[in-house]
Amino acid sequence: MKDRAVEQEWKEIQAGKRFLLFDGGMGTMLQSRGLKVGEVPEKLNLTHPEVVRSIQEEYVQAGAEVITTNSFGANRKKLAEGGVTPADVIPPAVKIAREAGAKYVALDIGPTGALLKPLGTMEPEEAYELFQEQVQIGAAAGADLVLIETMSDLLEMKMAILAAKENSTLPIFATMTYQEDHRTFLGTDPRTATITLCSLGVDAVGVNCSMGPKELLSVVEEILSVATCPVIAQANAGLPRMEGGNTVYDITPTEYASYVDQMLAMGVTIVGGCCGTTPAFIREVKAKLDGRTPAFTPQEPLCAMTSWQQTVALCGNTAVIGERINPTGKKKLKEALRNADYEYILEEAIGQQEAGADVLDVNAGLPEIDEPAVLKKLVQEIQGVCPLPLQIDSSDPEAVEAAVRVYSGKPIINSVNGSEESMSKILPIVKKYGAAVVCLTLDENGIPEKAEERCQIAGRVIERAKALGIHKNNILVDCLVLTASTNQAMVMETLRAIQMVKERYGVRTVLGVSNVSFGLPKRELLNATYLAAAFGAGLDMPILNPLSKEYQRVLQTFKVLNNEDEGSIRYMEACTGGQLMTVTELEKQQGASQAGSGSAQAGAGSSQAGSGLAQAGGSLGSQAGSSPAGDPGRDQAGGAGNATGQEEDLFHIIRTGRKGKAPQAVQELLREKTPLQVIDEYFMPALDEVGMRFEKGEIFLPQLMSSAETVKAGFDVIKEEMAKSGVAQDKGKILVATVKGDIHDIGKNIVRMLLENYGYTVVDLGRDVEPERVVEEVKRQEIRLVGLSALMTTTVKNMKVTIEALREAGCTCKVMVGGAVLTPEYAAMVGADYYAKDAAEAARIAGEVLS
Amino acid sequence: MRATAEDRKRRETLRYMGYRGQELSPETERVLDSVLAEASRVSCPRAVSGRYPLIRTKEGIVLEGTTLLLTGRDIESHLEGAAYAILFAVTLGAASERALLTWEKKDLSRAIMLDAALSAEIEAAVDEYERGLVCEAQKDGFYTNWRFSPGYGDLPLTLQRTVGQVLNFPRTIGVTVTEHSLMIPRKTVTAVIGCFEEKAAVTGKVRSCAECVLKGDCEFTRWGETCRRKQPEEDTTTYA
Repeated sequence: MKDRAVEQEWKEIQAGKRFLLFDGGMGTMLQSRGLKVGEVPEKLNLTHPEVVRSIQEEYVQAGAEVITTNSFGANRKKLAEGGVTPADVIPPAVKIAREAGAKYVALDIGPTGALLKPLGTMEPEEAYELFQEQVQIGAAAGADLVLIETMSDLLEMKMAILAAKENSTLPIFATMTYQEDHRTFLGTDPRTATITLCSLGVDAVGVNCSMGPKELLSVVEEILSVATCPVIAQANAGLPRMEGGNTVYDITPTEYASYVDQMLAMGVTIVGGCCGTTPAFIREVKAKLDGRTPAFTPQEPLCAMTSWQQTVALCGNTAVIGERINPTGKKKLKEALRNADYEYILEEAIGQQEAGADVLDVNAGLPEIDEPAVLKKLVQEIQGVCPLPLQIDSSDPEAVEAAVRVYSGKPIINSVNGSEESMSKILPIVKKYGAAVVCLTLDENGIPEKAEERCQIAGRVIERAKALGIHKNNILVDCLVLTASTNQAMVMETLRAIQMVKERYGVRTVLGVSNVSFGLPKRELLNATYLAAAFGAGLDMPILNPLSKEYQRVLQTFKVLNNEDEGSIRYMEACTGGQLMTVTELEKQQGASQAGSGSAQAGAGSSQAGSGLAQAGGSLGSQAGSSPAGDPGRDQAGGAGNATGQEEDLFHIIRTGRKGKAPQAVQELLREKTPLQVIDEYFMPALDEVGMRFEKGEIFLPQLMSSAETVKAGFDVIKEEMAKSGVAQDKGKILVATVKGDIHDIGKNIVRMLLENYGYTVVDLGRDVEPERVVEEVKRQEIRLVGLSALMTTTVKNMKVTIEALREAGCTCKVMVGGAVLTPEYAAMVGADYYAKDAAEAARIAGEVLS
Repeated sequence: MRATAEDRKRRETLRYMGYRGQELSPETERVLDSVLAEASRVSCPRAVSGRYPLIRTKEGIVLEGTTLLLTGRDIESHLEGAAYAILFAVTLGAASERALLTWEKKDLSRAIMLDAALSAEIEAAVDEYERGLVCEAQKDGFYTNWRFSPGYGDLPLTLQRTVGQVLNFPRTIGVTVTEHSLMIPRKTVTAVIGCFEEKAAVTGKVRSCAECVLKGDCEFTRWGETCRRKQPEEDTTTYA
């Protein structure tokens, strides 16, 4: 785009002041010219350039200004199936479009064809590299813009946008495809996608493929309601319909154009067609553009954060940022971060979500860990199970960038401050990744005492951000509260500062409320009072522990008073649900329960005794029937149970799978017995029996599982006990993994749980595990037994590859294999030492190998 | 009285979990109800199909106009005498996959129950879609047999990738086929139905456990039952 006229034209296009007409469908046109369904269409650029060119010429004649290159699937991975590379097919694709007479050539980029984690197995970086190659080749070949289209995955789209931004200076048009439920196949809605993509700095945002133009009208409306850049719409030629067993699109070019006409009136400025549209459609659309003035008005950026699934926007409402994923002062979380035990952290995430958090803060700041790597992994894991937007919290710019890069949405970055160093390092990241950012009102000189000075710092950061093109709605000012125990006189100054920054700059505010009570008793009370006061001063987003009942009282009541909880519906629900009790109510309830508790307990006691007896009888009966010889473990347990009452309980608790009861029962037993005795005398025999009953069909899977989980809950108590007494209870380490290519994890997880229940330490590498990774860990951790799982015939071969890799590396460990399609013969064929037909068998093998 | 679709899903879910009439505690019942509700909530069935004339070659059967080559004795016998084949796919959608992944991390036993409930959901969705396809084929004057999927007998699972390309999965139903021929969402089914011009070509065929590709390795027959794979109402197929 060298000459001045063209430059001016693009300025107008990018401002939404000039229409731009794209071409229509390519795939359907190629098929009508004999391309077989399932063939690699990009190969035609080499074998039949004249066919591609003739179609594109027709589009040019119909009036299309932009011709989209025939390179939708031209990434290295997809093309490999056709035996060609991007370098083979992209340059001719650009050349053909140019020869066809295109005014502008759009480098077409579609999805990679592979699915990103967590649903799939591809790392975002791999997707980035595929897109990067396409962009580099396409830009070098002379494309005028990049069209990224038909995307369903917001993160994949983000990778493509980053690849385009970092490897070219071409304008980027980004369109996703939505279904009739107004979501992409992966669950993103148009508003969320548009906010995210606009903040990433694309030149046009919109929708393609999906449905017909009529059905897209409402999608387009949603997009326009938040779009800060021009909007593009390329619909299919109607909803697909079956005819003679085949899919056909059948609205007429005239109908199509009449809906496009409506889109233009709504403010769309860039149009064209997708599946099923032909040059005839484009010609009709062209007629609608002639002599018309664009109706696009860019929206002001919202103060909003997004995840792949939802948007949290601040428009007069409040929103809660959950603070619990932060290792400061949390021993268990520190431990979990060090050991990469994400399960525990995910529970924290889900717990906060269920308690009503709107956004989650994610902090992995521990001195001894590789923070960029851990924070990135943490963000990936959390966004895999939790749909809330995330706040990336780190003082290390490198960690911040690593995490926001793979974040699927528009995150908040926590934080920037008024120091030169912070502004120069953090703000460019905020801009590049289109994030919102928390601005701390401190600088090189620390936290100023006076509200006025804090306000000035905020002003400085806002100015600096503005110079970089960051809108003030993306800045959330944190006026910082000091603790009342050390700086009592300054506590209210923070609230003054909140009022001041809001008035002066019209920005939203956040505040880490819990700081205020540090060092004082009954912190929750102080926190709650302060939160109420802060809301009064205009706080928009408190950072707090959403699981705190005291906080919840303030939050739920304030939402009524602030006219957020419309009709007080949620408040009423919380009241009737018993979540919100006044002190009087609590007192009343406690009084009543104290008075009645004596007799109630006695009653429960006697009924428990009764059921215990009944159970004992029942189990004796079944025992007599099923194993007259009896197994010593159970007899012992039964006998012990008769003597003390409570011990029989644990056995019974496990059999009936009441995992909530297990910890206490184990604790009671530990007063008299050693941890190992509890394992040998209760866990093992109970598991054996449950396993046997499952085998015989007396109980079914969920029952088996709840028994196993009950043992697991009991085991956690044992582990803590052992850690306290310093006794290492190690029956040996077992590594388990679902092999490369396979994503079925449940079977392996059952095996893992059972092995842990039998007292083994299990190293779980997860699913889709590279053979090299297994070898590496086996060597590093000196593993003697490996369990490999695969569920599909197509992935069993990777068991063989993994076992061979182990043998080649000289590992002498034993390998057991399992999975639905395996048989003993198959196990032998892949070179395994053992075939584990189920989890119980795996435990038996472990006993043999590690004895 | 006919069981409702919900009853049927409940029964199937229990069967997938290995239920053989054991006592169900109220607690298990409660969890089961909530799992079934969740399964239904996260299921958003989408389907796509095409009907293709067949070209019989030395290597196998080609669906005309596509690159799909169906190989093996079993599909050959399935499509013996057929004029067309209907190729179709049904998926429960990404929300089902996410729910499974989330529960695998949160609560394994619930994940297992949900897995079973989603299997019941996809079976029901496939049955329903298949009924519609058969109806339509009948309107066009064809007789049809039952669905046959890659992975059954000697029809290779590795065909899934081509099936995905032919049915244009990324645009039509949002399913990804991995390099190892796994479909994501996992609750996705692809299958082939034969369309015949002569009634005799269908009536002669009996679908039985004796001829089932899972013979000897079937969880149902182990407990003296059958999978009772459902057929369209008017179908007279007998089950062994």
